[in-house]
Amino acid sequence: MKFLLTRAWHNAMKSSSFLAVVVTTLGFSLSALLCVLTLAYLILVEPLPYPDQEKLYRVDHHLTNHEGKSEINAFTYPGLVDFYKNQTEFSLGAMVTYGKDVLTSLPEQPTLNTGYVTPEWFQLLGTSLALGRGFTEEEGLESFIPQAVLTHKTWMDVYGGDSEILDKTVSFSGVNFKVIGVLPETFVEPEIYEVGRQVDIWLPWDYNLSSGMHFLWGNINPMLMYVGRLAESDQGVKAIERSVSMYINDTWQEKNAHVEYYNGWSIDARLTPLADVVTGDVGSIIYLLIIGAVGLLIIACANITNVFISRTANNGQNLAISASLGAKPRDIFRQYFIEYGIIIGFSITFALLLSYFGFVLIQNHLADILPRAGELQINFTTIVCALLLAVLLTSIFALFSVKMINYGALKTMLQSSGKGRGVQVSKGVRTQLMFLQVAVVSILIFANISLFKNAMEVMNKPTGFEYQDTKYLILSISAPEFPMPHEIIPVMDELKSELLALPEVKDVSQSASPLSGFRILATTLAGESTRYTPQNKWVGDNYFSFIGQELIDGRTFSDVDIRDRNSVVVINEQFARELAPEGSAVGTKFDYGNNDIHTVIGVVKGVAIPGESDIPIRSYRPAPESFTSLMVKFNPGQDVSKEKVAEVLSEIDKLYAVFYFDPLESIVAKRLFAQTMTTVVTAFLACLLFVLAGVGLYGVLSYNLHMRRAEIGTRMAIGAKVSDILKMILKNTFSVAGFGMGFAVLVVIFAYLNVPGDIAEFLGGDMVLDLFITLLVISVLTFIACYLPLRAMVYKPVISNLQDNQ
Amino acid sequence: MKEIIKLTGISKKFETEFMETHALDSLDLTIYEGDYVSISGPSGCGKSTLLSIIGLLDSPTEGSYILDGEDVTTLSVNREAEFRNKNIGFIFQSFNLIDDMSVHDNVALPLRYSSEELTEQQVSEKVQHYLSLVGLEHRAMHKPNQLSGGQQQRVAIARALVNSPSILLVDEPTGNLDSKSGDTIMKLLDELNKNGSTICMVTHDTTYARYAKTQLHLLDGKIVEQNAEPERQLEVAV
Repeated sequence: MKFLLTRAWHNAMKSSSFLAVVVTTLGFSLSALLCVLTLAYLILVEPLPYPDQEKLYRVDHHLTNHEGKSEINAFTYPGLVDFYKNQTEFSLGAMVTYGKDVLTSLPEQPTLNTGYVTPEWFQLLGTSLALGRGFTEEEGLESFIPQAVLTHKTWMDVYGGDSEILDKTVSFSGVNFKVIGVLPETFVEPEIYEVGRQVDIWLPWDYNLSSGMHFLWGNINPMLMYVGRLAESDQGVKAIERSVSMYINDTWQEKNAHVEYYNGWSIDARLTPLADVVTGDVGSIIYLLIIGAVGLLIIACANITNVFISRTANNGQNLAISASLGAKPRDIFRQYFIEYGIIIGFSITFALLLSYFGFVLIQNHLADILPRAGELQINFTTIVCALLLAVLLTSIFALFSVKMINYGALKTMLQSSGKGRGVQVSKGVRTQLMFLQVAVVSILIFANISLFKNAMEVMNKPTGFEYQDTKYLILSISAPEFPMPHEIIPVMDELKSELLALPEVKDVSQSASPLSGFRILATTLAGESTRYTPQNKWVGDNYFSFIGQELIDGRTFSDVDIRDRNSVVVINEQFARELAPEGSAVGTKFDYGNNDIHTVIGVVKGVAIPGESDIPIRSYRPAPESFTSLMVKFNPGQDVSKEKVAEVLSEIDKLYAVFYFDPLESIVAKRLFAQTMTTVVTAFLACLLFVLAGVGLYGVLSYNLHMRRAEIGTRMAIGAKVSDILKMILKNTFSVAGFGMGFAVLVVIFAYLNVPGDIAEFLGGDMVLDLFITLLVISVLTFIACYLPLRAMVYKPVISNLQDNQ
Repeated sequence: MKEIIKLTGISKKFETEFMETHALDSLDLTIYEGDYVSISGPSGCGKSTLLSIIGLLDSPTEGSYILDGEDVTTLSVNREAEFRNKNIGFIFQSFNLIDDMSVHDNVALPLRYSSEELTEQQVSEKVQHYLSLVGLEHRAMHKPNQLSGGQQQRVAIARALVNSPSILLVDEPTGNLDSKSGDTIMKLLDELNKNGSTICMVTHDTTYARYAKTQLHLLDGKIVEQNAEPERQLEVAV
């Protein structure tokens, strides 16, 4: 065994380039598969890290209207509180809701994600705190004791891990909360509202931002939730669901009996296991990822097989010697198994290292899409998968190598004319391998180039407005009672003046940003029934000039329109074209209901929001003077910090805080995240495919050349020049590669003609150019993969090519 | 008589990481037009290396080599190919015919690599001429694997002759043949020599070595014995 190991180690280390090719190729593809398999296990199999997690359920509150249509899954505020107080099916249950608020007790006033819970929340999750304590029963519902529990991340990032943090004060919306605890670093928050949304600070339920709804039995809020641990019971979950439904529905019906609108409506409560809530509906994504990663590994293995074939063929003489000395097929298999085991061991180690970085990438960039991404790490599952894959691949490669050995011929190889027939793959199989290689890689590289170009086009598409050197500012008001508009207007006016007085600031517009969401505002033409649903935005008088959105017809808003809130509207050219295909849309009147008539006073050019393919119909209406969102434009290269704005604001009125203050460019970057990721991933995949294809083609072609070595030697012996040999080999190679490329072209054309419209449109963009680039890339690759081994052959003394045959 | 081959002080060393092997050691050899030389010796004595150097299939580590009046010691790869094509005909032990080409195409191959532009008809005429010389004109369209070993070697001889080379280099021509076929081949080579071809043959078979007018015996990279008929124009120096 020691001899076998030493021999295998020596063989594995013999060629560093061979080792590098196999380890790199397998390393990348295996790491992708390991990442996906670990993620799949985590999401689909591994229990949540909470005590009795199988008994944890979220109560979903489905409203069904009088027509029997399911309306929405959301609790009413008083309905939830009533259920919390009176339910009997859960041994422990907590109310949870979420928000976002400005931490005004710090000078930098960061905006944090807040979570509002009743004290049972941390008990349900079995959380023991790193510092201090959680909320106690006495601090429960309607106790109004302002206390806070920080997450470990907030403690470290915002308070620098201050060991004296307990009993310090944190302020939100004018309330001072005393810090009573810090969660441990290992705490895993169940993301039950939104994947990737992590709470920064936990506050008592009493201070939640929806508490104004506490008496509204007719209003629902999807952020209001109940999570509980089922009590020991002989009843099944369905029976408990029925019981819960009956209680919630009866209560709601009783409270809304006087509201005619809700006649015939009902509530159907459903108990969803917390594990299903957390993982959501990502099963199909996970299976797709597995298919993609397995596909990548198969391509890599096909390429590696070519390299192993070439290596086994080169090793024919040694194998023949072993066979002649009595090595049985089993011994040869064992020899290969150990040798390949060493090589694949290196590959797996490299793959595990890459997986570590893969997990970091997933946590940083895909946490908003993939649930439980934060729990990803190299764990027992990863190691087991890695070992199983190593054994599987080693066995496959060793078996494949042994299969290509004709043991009977091997034994006589040394005594025969030495044509090496003991170890070879038939010409037909070699041709098929090369054909498949070229065809598959051509299709994949074409797909990558198309995806890459598409993403680049979206990223580089002109928006039609200026967003450079501009920040979007949203204010929050930290007052228990929201001020009236006439109280806000002077603050906003003063803030605008103060900001404009700063030397860095070029202009200010009291408008929503062009990149923030539009609101659909249904309208009809006045006196007609034609209905339109344009996207609407509230903007200031200088909005259009501020962002450089061109006016095509009529006029934009005046300061009088803003001050008097005149019933005027500006529309985009797309909307104008619908309203008046030939003439001018200026003067058109819209009815927004209740005889709220607005007149079109201008038409502006449409702007493209980055990441969106079409420009929809849009309308713009005057923003009220109490509008608390502004855009701030700076002189080129200059900027003002959030702290500075907070300081200015604080001097005007301490109740006002900076909720959001970020450059529009960062919003654009976020909106283009998918395209950026696509660009990066496709570029990476294209490079990986290029390497894999190069490795595979090199393997097949160098093996082909190896098999023709004696022929090449003979031709050279009788006078063939290097150029003659090169021409001959290139002609042979490209006749097969050409068929592969031709096949790929046919597949692409077939796909273009037969796939659904959207994909065909995507393919059709610059298909000819993409195909040309693909074929050029493959041709260059084939040439290089062919030329390199040939060059090594033809520039050696001719006799070295003939010797194998002598 | 015209000197076809003149080797002076030819040495060939093979080096590996751990050892250095002297395959040929300061060897001098001159072969004249019309000679028939056999080189024999024990395995590893350097006879195949010597033939490779004469055939420009390998280059010497030291020494000079004049072929047909031109110094070919340091030629470019392409110029070497031209020399081989024009001046040397090879006959190998394992025939080295190209399996997927017909007998006709195998024989025509040196003409395809020749700088001389020939029409297809001229090529065919030449091929037919040399195939008839070896008695295989009726097998022109056959593939090599449809022929016997002896026939394949005769095809190889026709291919070696087709460009009318200055010298035929023959490496163990009967090594893969039965004795009857071997005899036929040796007679054919003898016939060719009588008709003016210069031949240099490597063989370990002493019976066949006697076909040559001059027999050289190599040991450890040196010519240690020569047995030349007095009228032969061969000079050997050790």
